[in-house]
Order: sequence, then C-alpha cells, then structure tokens
Amino acid sequence: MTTSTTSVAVERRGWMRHGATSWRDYFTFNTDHKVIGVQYVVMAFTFFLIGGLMAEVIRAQLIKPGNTLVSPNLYNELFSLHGTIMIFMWVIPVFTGLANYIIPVHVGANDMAFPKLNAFSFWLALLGGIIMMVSFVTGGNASGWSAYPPLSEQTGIGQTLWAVALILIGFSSIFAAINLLVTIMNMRARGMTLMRMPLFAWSMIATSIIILLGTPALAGALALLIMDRVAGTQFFKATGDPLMWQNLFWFYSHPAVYIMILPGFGIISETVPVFSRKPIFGYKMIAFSSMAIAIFGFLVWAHHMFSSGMNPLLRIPFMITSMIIAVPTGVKIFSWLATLWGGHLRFTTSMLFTLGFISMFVIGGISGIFLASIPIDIHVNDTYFVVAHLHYVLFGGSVMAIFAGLYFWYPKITGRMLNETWGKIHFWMTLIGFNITFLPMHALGLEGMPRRVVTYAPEFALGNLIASLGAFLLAAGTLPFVYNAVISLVRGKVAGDNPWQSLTLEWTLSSPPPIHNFPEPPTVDSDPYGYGKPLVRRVPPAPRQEAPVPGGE
Amino acid sequence: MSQTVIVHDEPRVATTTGIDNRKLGMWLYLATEVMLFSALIGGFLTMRTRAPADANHVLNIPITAFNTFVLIVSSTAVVMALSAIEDGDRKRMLRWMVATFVLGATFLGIQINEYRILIGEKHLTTSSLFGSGFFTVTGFHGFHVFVGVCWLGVIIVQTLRNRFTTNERDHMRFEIFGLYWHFVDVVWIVLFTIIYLI
Amino acid sequence: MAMPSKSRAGAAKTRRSNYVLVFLSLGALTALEVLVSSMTNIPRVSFLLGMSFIKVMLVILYFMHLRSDSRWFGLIFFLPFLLVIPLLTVLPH
Repeated sequence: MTTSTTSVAVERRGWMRHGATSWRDYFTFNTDHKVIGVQYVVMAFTFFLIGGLMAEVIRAQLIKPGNTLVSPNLYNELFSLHGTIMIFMWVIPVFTGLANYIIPVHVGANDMAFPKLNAFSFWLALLGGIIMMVSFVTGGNASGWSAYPPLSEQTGIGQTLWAVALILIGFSSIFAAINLLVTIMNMRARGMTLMRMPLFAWSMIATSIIILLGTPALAGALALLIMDRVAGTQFFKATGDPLMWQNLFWFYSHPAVYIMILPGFGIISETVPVFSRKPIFGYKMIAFSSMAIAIFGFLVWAHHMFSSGMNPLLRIPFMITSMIIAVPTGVKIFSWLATLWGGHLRFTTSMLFTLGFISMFVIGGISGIFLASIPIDIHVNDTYFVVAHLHYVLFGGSVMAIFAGLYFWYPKITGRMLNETWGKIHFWMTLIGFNITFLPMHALGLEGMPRRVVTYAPEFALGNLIASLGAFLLAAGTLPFVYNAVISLVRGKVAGDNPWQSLTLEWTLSSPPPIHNFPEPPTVDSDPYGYGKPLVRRVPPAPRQEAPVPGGE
Repeated sequence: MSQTVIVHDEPRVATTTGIDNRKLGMWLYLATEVMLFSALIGGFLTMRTRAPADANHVLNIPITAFNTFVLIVSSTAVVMALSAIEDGDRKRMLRWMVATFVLGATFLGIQINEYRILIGEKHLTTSSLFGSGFFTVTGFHGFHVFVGVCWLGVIIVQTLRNRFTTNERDHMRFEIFGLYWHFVDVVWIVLFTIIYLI
Repeated sequence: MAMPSKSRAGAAKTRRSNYVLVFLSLGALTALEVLVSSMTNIPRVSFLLGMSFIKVMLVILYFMHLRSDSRWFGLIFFLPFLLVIPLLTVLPH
C-alpha cells in the first residue's frame, strides 16, 4: 500500500501549532493528536522514572531492619507520592498518550474530536504533575496515596497542594475521556461498524466511561478534604464522618484500577493476534467483557474497607461482586490463550512483554480473588500481601502491557525500529527483577508484615533483603530501554509502513504518519484481525452529500 | 428578518452517529457533573443528618424562593434566545441573552448577599455541621453559575462584534451553552428543596 | 434550502408556547413547594421531593430538549444516576 509523503511543515493556527517536524515542536501548545500523544508518553515516562527512584529509596531503606537511611516522615512522604505518581502521572497518562496517538488512526479519523481541548488536557496534566512535585518539597502528602483522614487533615501545606494537583489531573483525565468517546462514537471511517473496530478502541470506550463517571467522586472527596483543611468544615472530622472519605475515595479509586488495566487489555488484544499471525479468538466476548468490567467495577469499592469498621453486613454484597468481576477478565485471558494456540508465534520484544503480561497478571488476579474474601482480607489487609497483589497487577500487568505497546508502536511513531537485543535484555531483567522483588511479599504479608512501615521486625529480614535486591535489578533493567529508545531514534533500522505485517489502519500509513493522517478517508471492508482478507478498499472519494453518512450501527 | 430556512438539527460535519460532536461532548460532560454534584450532595446529606433538625431555619426562604424563580426565568430566557436564533432574529436573540445574563448575575448577587448576612451576623459558619454542607454545596453551585455568566458574557461580546450570529455553527454553540445553563438550574432545583425546604 | 416557511414557523411557535407552559408550571410548582414546606400535617418530604422531581424532569425534557433529541443523550445523562444509587445507599453507613 502506498502512502503519501510525511509532512514537511508545521501548521500555525494563531498562537497554536499543529504537527511537528523537529523536537522543538513538542514543547508547543500543539493540536495534533500525534504530537500530544508523544508529549503524554514522554511526560509519563519521566514520572515513571521519578516514582521508580522513590521506590528504590524505599527498598534501600527496607533492605535491613532498623535502617536509618531516611527519616520516618520522609519515608511516609516517599511511599505516598510513589503511589500517587505511578497511578496518576505514569500509568493513566501513558495510556492516555498511546490512545491519543493511536485511536484516531485506528478508527480512520484525521484527528480527535476536540483537538484544542486535547492539547489543553495535556498541559493541565503537566501542570498537575508539577504542583504534585512542589507539594513533595513543601512536606507533602504523608498519609499514603489514599490519604485517609484524620491523618490527612493533620499533615502540612503540601497535602493541600497534593489535593489541588490531583483535582487538576482529574479534570485533564475527564476531558481526555470525553474526547476519546466522541472520537470513537462519531468519527469512525465508512464501513467501520462498532464490531469492526480494533479492540483497543473498545477498551478505550470502557476506560473513558469509567473516567467520566468515577473521577468526579474523587474530585468531590478532594474538595471536601480541602474545605476541611482550609475552611474549617467538619466533613471528615470526628464529629463528621471520616468513613465518608473512604467511601468517596474508593468509589473512584477502585474503578481507577480498571482505568489502569483496560487500555492494557486493549493493547494486548492488538499484539497477540499480530504476533500469533491469527485472528483474535472471541472478539465479541472481549469487547463485551470490557464493558462488563466498566460497569461492575463501580460495584466493588468497599472491598477496600472490609476492616474499616463499616457495617459488617454490607460487606457481603461487595465480596460477591468482587469475585464476580474476575469472570469477564478470565474470559479475556482464555480468549488470548486461544488466539495463541496453534498460531505462528513471533517472539519479538513486544510479544515477550505480552506473554509476560498474561502470566503476571493472572498471578495478580489470583491473589486478588483471595483478597476478595472477607475473612482472608481481614487477616492480610494493610500487609505486604496487598502490596504484592497490587504490584503484580499494576507492574506485572499494566506496565508490561505498556511496554508491549511501546515496542509495538515505536516504529510507527518514530519511523525506526527499536533494537531487539536490547529489548530482550530489558524484558528479562524486568521479568526476573520484578518477580524477585514482589513474590516474597506474598509470604511477608501472610506472616504479618504491615505495609507503609519505615522499618520492621527482624523475622521479616530475609524476605525484605531479597525484595530489595530484586528491586535494584528491576531498576537497572529500565536502563537498556531508555538507551534503546534514545539511540534508535537516530540509529534504528528504518521501519517502513508495516514492519509487523499487521492489519489495523495505522499500518496503512507511513511511519511516522502524515500530518493529517489519511490522504483520503478510508473505507473499511473487513475486520482488523482477518488475516488473508484485504482490510481497506481504496475508492475514489464519494460525492458530497447533504445528509450525514452513516458508518454502520 | 431572514426568509431562508436554516436547518439546525443536523451536524455541520458528517458524524457516524448523526449527532453533533460538541453536543455529544457536552452531554458527556453533564454526566460527569451529575456524579460530581452527587458526591457533594452526599457530603451535604451526611452533615445534615448529624446536624440538629432545625439547623436550616436560619436560612431565608422567601428570598431564596425568589432566587430560585430568577434562575427559572433565566432558563426560559435561554430557550427563548435559542428560538430567536432558529428564526434568524439577531435582535431578539441578543435581548434574551442579555436578560439571561442579568438574571444570572442577580442570582449570584442575592446568593452572595445571603452569605454575607449569614456569616456577618453569625447565623451560620463553615465550622458548624450544617454550615459545612451548606456553604460547600451552594458554593460549588454558585461557582458553576459564575462560570456560566462569564461564558454568556463572552458570547454577548462576540455578538456585539458580529462574530456570533444566527448561523448553524453558532446555533450549536448556544445550544451547548444552554445545556450547561439548564443543568445548573436543575441542580439548584434539587438543592433548593433538600437544603432549604426539608 | 427552500422549505415551506409556514410549517417551520409553526413548529417554532409550538416550541415557544411549550416553553411558556413549562415556565408557568415551574413557577407554580415552586410556589407550591414553599407553601408545602411550612405545613406540618402532611408527608412534607415526599411531596417536596416529588415536586422537585417533576420540576427537574420538565427542565430536562423540554428546555434541554431531551424529549425530542437523540436517545443517546438520555442514556448518557441517566446512566450516572444508576451509579449514584449504590453510592448514596452505602455512604450513610
């Protein structure tokens, strides 16, 4: 498939820009979704390194009992901001960035529905991230990323800044979700019915719905917290209802974990068929299970509060829903396995991370089922068992999916291939380091080591030593990726349009794509996983019609 | 007065669903706002149930009922302005826009004065249980009215400069503003009942 | 774009008279609410909530055109209320 040449100039629209030809353009208020996508990814990765550095300091402190590397208060701030940054400034924005870049192309559009709002969303997120870092240096959040009152009402000014930063980041997220939903619903190419969309688009529909309906609850909780801290209100004080914070907070923050995994599911649904050279198994089930997760995700939140003193009877429905929600995810896992089965597997780095994702996420999912059970949760809540679970699903899951996506789409975005050898080194150091770090934490938690502690009893020493060594290996394993990503920009092999022989629409364009994506609107003829059938039929542009052209259902 | 018929219902650019992008976007945003106000109202209710039953008797119902009426009139003014756009009548549109602006500003003025009286004469503070909920949720609502008034102000200025007219594009822009404004009115209808009357 | 101006003008007039009717209903209901709020021998709360619900629906259906517009908008707007129910149920406990 021939494509038109890449853009040769950046467009100026008043004080705004559209498109990029040099690195300087990436520092502008740019309305091109491809530029914004890269801005998000680079910003998010920077915060990944910052949050990761915090984790390394935490593990260095915990390498032996009674260590005095950092003061207790600094330690509290470190783990609090580690969590906040990893969630709000790494995982969520990096998926937003990848979605920003890929989704319009996946549906055959030339940009997102609201390009200016898109640019604004990015800069708002960046502002939030900066305020977040300022909060850290002014003695910030020391009450955990979950900031429970009364402690979060007794900490310093940085806590208020932290809350303000999160509100800004939340709004950025909401605007991005609106943009994605309108783009996917309204701007699909002719012939692209909902059932012919790439599954990444389905996962972003589900993710965006969760963002839209869940984030305001967090915003509300933060607003009330700020009012308590600044205006003397009593919402979460003893005379008020401290538990209300937990309810409002988790009403968002549980669905938030689905915000952090659903795009990953979408990415895996793209890489598995490509690198098995087989149509995906169970397209409809994967699409519908994403929507089921979005809805059910809102009905499980109190499983974070089983030992909070909430009404004991009310815990039972939440236990039930928390177990049920494993089913749609299980459906996906089986679909991916069935896709792999009998396929012609290519073990590129992206595929390795894909397989790593599937295996590590299943482990995390299983520990999640244990946690869903009230009696078990009461025993292990706030112990390292929870820390193990959350890192298996968020690092073993989300982060591996992110890398699978980065290795997959780097050639499309930059026009160059990443070096596979360095990629494999990155993968194996990550997989091994990750497991050495977090596997022992299951045992530590079961034996009773609490989380969020600056030091611990000597009986936990061996597990912590192993975990810390694993963490150092994990950190070192990130370096090959950084080196690879930078060097390949200039020295990587030229990628061509479709280095992976994939069928989705982005691979019909040049690498990188032209400034306005499609020279003529594509008409989609078959599904994106139908190997052997031509996807896009090139027809002359249809004569201009008065009425809107329906694209399908 | 325009003789040509302006078709306003179809989106400017063809969309897959046939719905205009910006209209869809605004309804999605309103869904978010529903959740936000629900969280804040939840906070209010939690405070309200812990406060004494007669805690809201310090509030001035006649004045606030009048204020509620002001907002209702303003919503009506908005749909009248929209109707004027559909008829292509710029003068009528402008009159109703200004009416909405004045009514919105009146609402804010009365609200701020009520705050002044409550706090200044020490009838209610933010540190009381009822006050916590009251000031927070009405404050957020008032902020939304303020944003709406500013937005309308921008539209009015653009109209006076002839950069906002009765064409399709601006019809949609005003309709979107209207959706936001009506939503803020809806929230107030709920707040008036649960805060002042019950 | 020539269409019979009579039917469109007629449609516009109907819409405007609908708006006036809704406005009058809203005004009347508000006055009624204030009246009911001061009475003690009736189920005040149910009446008040019921009346405000009607007012809310009038604004949403007629001023926000939900009655005549695409069904998508209704779905989008009312979906959050489904979530609000579990939230406001659990919150007081």
